[in-house]
This record gives sequence, C-alpha cells and structure tokens, in this order.
Amino acid sequence: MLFNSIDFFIFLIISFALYWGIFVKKIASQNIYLLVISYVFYGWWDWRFLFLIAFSSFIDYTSGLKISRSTSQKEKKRWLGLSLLVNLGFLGFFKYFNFFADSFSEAFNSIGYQFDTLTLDIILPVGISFYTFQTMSYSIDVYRGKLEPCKDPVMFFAFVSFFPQLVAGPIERATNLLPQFYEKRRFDYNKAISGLKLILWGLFKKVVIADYCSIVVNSVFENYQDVSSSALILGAVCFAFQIYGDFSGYSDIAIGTARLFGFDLMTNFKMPYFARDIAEFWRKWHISLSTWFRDYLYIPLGGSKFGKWITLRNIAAIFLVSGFWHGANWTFIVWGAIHAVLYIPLFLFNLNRNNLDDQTGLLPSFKNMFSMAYTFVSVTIAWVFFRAETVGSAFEYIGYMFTKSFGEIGVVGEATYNMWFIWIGLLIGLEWLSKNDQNPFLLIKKYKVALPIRYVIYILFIILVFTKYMENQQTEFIYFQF
Amino acid sequence: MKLFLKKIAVFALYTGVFIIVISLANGYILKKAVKKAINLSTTETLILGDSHLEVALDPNKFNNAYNIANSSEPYSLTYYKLKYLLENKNNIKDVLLGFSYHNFQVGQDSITLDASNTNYTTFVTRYALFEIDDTPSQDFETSEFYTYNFLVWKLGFPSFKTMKLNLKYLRGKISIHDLPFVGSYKRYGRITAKENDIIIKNACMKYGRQEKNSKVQTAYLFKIKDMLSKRNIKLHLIASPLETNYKNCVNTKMLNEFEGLKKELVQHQVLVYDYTELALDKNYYKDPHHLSGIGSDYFSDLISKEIFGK
Repeated sequence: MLFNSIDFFIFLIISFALYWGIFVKKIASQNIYLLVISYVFYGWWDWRFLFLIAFSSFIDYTSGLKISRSTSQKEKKRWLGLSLLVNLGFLGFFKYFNFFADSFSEAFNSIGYQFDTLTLDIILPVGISFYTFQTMSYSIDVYRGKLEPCKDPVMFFAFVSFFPQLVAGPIERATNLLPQFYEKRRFDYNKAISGLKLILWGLFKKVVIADYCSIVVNSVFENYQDVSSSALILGAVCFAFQIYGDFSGYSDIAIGTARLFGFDLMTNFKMPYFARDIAEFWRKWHISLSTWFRDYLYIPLGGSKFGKWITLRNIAAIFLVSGFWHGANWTFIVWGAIHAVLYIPLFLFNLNRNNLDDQTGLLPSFKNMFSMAYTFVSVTIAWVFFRAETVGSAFEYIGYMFTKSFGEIGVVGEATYNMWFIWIGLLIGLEWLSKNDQNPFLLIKKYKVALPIRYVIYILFIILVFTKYMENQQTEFIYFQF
Repeated sequence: MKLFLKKIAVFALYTGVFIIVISLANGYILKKAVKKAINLSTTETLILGDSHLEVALDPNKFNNAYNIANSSEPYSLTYYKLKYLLENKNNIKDVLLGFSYHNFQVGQDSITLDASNTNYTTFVTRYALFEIDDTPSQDFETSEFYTYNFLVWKLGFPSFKTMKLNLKYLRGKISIHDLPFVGSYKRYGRITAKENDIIIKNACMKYGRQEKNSKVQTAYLFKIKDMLSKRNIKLHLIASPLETNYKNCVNTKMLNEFEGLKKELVQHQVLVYDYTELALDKNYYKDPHHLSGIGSDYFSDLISKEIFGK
C-alpha cells in the first residue's frame, strides 16, 4: 500500500478512527490493533512477505530474551550471532544472491573460464533492508546492555512491523521506538495536527516535486546519448531533487502518520541540500541510516580511536557498505566510494566538524553560498551513479555533461522542462525560509497568519497535490527497492 | 479529540465549499472559452477526428473552417464535443471527420472511460465539453458510467492548469490553441528513419492482433451520423494517406471489418473519401501514418477541391 494512494488514504482514516475510538482504553488492545493493521498494510503488497517479517521478529524476540538470560558471554554472543545471521541471511539471500552470483560468473568469464552460475527469480520483499536493520539494532542493544529485552511478544512484533516506518524508514532505534509501545498512548491534539501538516508537506514533496522531476529524469537518462549537455545537467539536477523529494517526502509522511497514532519517530532529513560540506550533508541526509552505520559499524570497527589509517579504513568501510546497502549493483558501491573520496580530505585536514552550527539570516553569506553550491554539485554528480543502469553509462553520462553542446535543452519524449524551475524553486525557497523548523507549514504559525488565509494556503497545497496526483497517477517510492 | 474532530470538520467544510465554488466557476468559464475560441456564427466547416486529420487538413485551405481534431481522440469523445458545439447557435454546414481503422481499436474505449488509463493533460481535460447529465451510449457498462461522471467532475476540479486558462479567458486572449482539450491543426516535419521504423514495428505488433472493430466506437460513429443528419449537416468521412509498408501490417480480418463498415456507411448515404492508397512522396509524411506540413498542404487542396469544388 503506497502512501500516495487512495487505498492508503482510506486505510489511514479507518485505522485512525478505530484506534482512538475503540482501542484507546488499554495498552494491550492498542498494541494488538497496531500489529494487526501493520500486517494488513504490509500484506497489501504480498501476503507471503508476512511470514518473513513474522519469522524475523520471532528470532529477534527470542534472541533478545535469551541474550539477557544468558549467564556466559559466549552464550550471549551465540544468540546475537543467530539474530545477525538470520537478518543478514535474509538480506543476503533476497537482495544480494543474484548480484554475487552474476559478479562471480563475470569475474571467471573475464579470465577465460566459462562459469555459469545459478540465478534465482527472487522477489525482493518490500522494506527488508529497513526492518532487518531495525531489529538488528534491538539485538545489538540488548547484547550491549543498553536495552532491556522486550518480554511482550505482541509489543515486540508491533514494534518491528510498525506500519508508518516499516517499508522505507526512518530506521528506528529500539531504544527510541520500543519504549513508546510500553506506555499507553493518549490523544494529543497538537501532535495530531502537526502530523497532518507533515503528511501534507511529505505528499507535496513526493507527488509534486519527485514525480514531476521523474518525468524529466526518465526521459533524459533513457536518451542520454542523444541530448544536449544542458539537458544532461538538468536531468542530474532533477534527479537530485527527485530522490530528495521522494525519500524525505516518505519520511515526512511516515513521521506524520506515526504522530497521528501517538508516536514520535526520529527526524530523517534536515534540508541536506543546504549543507556546506559533505560531512554536514551526511549529518542531514538519511540520518537514521548514517547514524545506524556510525553506531553499529563504524564504532565497533574502532571508530577513530586507533590512529589515522584505521580511521580511514573505517570511514571507507561505512561509505562502501552504505552504498551496497542501497542496492545490489556496482553503481551503488561507486556512489558510496565517491562520497568516501569527498569525505576523507575533510577528515584528514580536520574540517569534518566545521559546519556544526545552523545557518541563520534571510540569505546565506557568499562563503556559505559557494560552499553549498560546491557540495550540491558534488552530490549531484555522485547521484548520476545512483541513477544510472551501469557504472559505464554513468561515466559516459558525466562525460557528455561537459562535452556536448550547451544549446537548447529541448524536449525529450513527453518531458517538458519549462516548469521544473517553478517546483524546484518553490521547494528550495520554502525549505530555506523554514531551515530551522521541521516543515514550512510551521512558518504559518510562526508569523501568526490569519485563519482564513491559513486555510487557503492548506487548500491550495491539497489541490496542488491532488491535481498532480491525477496527472501522474501513483508512482512507487524509490527507496522501496532498497 | 473533540477539538481535533471539530477542527477537521470545519476545515473539510471550508475545503469543500472552496472547491465546489471554484469548480463550478471553472467549468463554466472553460465552456465559455470554447465558444469564444470557435466563432460558431461564422464557421461553416468543422474538421474533427484524431491525430490523422489533426495534421492532414489545414483549415485555412477551406472557407470559414476550424480544425478541432485532437490526437488519440475516439469517436465517443468527438460525439460529445460535437454535441456541445451544435447545441449552441451555429452556422455549420459540413463536418469532415477522420475515418480509418485506427478509430476502431478496442483500446480507444478505455481512453474514453477508464480513469486509470487517462492522463489529466492529454485526455481528461477533453471532458470539458461533456454535460454532467449526458448519458453515454448503452454500449457502456453501468460502472463505466460512474467513471465517466467522475472524470467530468475531475475536470471541474480547480487545477492550476485550468485556473491559468481561465485567467487568460478573462483577459480576453483565448484562442483555439490555448485549449488543448478541444484540438487544433498542427504542422510537422519528417521524423528520422529510425523513428519511422520503430512506428512501423510497433504498428505491426498492434494491428497484427486485433481482428474486430470496437463496438463502442462503431456505435458512436453512427450516433454522430444521426445527430448530424437531424440537423441537416453533411458528414464527410475522410481517410488520410498511409505508407504502404505501414498499411501492410494490418491483418486481413481487421481490414475486412473496416471495409464492411465503409460499405454500410455508404449505404446510409454517408460520404466516404478513402485516400489510404494514395501514392505520395516520403516527404509528404511526418511518419508512416501522419502527413507532414507539406503533405497537409497537398491533401487539404485535394479534399477542398473534391468536396467543395475549390
């Protein structure tokens, strides 16, 4: 069930009404109900996926209990190992099996050995990368003694499958989300209203920005050999905004939906395209994943405690693994490597913690403007690898960006370019104005806009989202494939 | 919770009223815009159909004519478009309507009625000319009728596109070219050989399969015929030229169906001008089944002479 679908709209209204109307009295009934609707939500894609998530939840639930009850360290490790093995095993099988099989056979074929490997017709379960990481964080935190294991299976299963963030994050830490299932949720007017505003803003980013940009992106990337440099640059810029609108839009809808049910999820994006260097970009982009890798990979590998070379290795490792997490393709690994290459000089010259302060003022300073532009260009070039089918075509695309004619952008296929700057400009403008708030609708409250005007603004956004939705019909979120 | 529900109810009410008012105004102005763009009191000839006549007949080659053919327009839409225009005071004497086996593809039916197959920009806006109380042909299922009415409503929804159009109308600067849902004459050059081959290949796959004409489109063609004959307006069905290798893709059964229909129409005193076999130079074609600007100059002269003797 996609967030940008009529199905979800109806599902949300019914589940919200029943949650606060019928199941509000007892914490147990709230959790059972959340578990049921989360399984309905997930099973809407393919009911067979439910067995997988239930099995994964069962293993982690059992592992958590066993870890805490184990008296020896060896036994604790064994149970943690089982949890990691099952989660990474699922991920490896469903997501990476064919990639490894193909890469293996290609490597052998390239040195002259004919090697036909088995490739399987595997369906990638939606959101598997997200919920496996979430449950792994639970097992690891229990193992580290940071978290008491959850004794109530319903609570635990509801935590793993909590529908707003189940399929594309934010990847919640058990330490943040699980305790919220232990307490009875009471309806909070302000939280619900802020949730609705966040949902509307998320839909705007997805339906208006991302889906519009996708028309331009698809036609440029599909015809990259035949279009001008200007069109290729526009295609890359539009992809930068498509993926941002798509993914951060999803996160906003997820956070907003969770608020409607009385939960607080972590912030996943903090206007990353205003970052002044790549380190700041990673503090603002997909925060739940980057902090996950920091806490569960970078620090266990030694972090920055064991000298420069070990630290460099660890930095490279998290960027490469992060790239690989996004998809079973060399393009994602190269994308991660590019970010590592951009980040490492900052680390070496001790500049990676330079921009920790928030930007203030109506306009950025010239220095900040230049830094933001440089960071955006670097990130956008890296996105070409993220979007391209192969590493070769990404290099070719980037080459053409600078070597073809800079004449007319032209029209490729059904894409029309004339509107791109309006939507992207609107997004940039609104996000800049609300750079220190969570979403631009908070500006309305901040500047005490009169109620009728406030309503007109919301209605115009609703109309915009609705008509754009009608134009493009529902499209999947990019991050569902990861 | 009570406060939340109250706020939501007030906001929903506010939104509903806002949308209804703007939708009504929107629909009303759009229809006025169409009337203004096509001067019905002086127009004598209307050219309608799909992309084939959209590019084939230059209205300037005819006396007091408008070409309002529109890409992928099925007869089911043309019928309502014509009905709306003829309900207004008019001086129309001749209707030149595109006629080829493309018009009878079963896929045309879903363009008309299936919301999931429609795209706001290209198709849905055409419903501007539908009346909400129009009842579609009996050939449609009841469920399709609701889809159809939903689409009518959708047009009235105050989208930014239609708002922009309305502003243009209010400033008095509206022309037929501003109304993509009505259609207008277009001129093109020749496409590349590679693109041409792709079209032929696709057409061979598509027309190699279908064997029967769409019942829905056939029924609407007859509805158009009856509507025009009641108003003493002459209907001329025109098939524009096709490249031979393209025409060869169509399977015999489909061609036979089309020929059978042609005979039936002739028996009903409908004037049919079939130029599909007309031999033309490649430059006269934009692609294998659409004429280029040069081709349209030639073909418009030919048709004008044939029908109007000038």
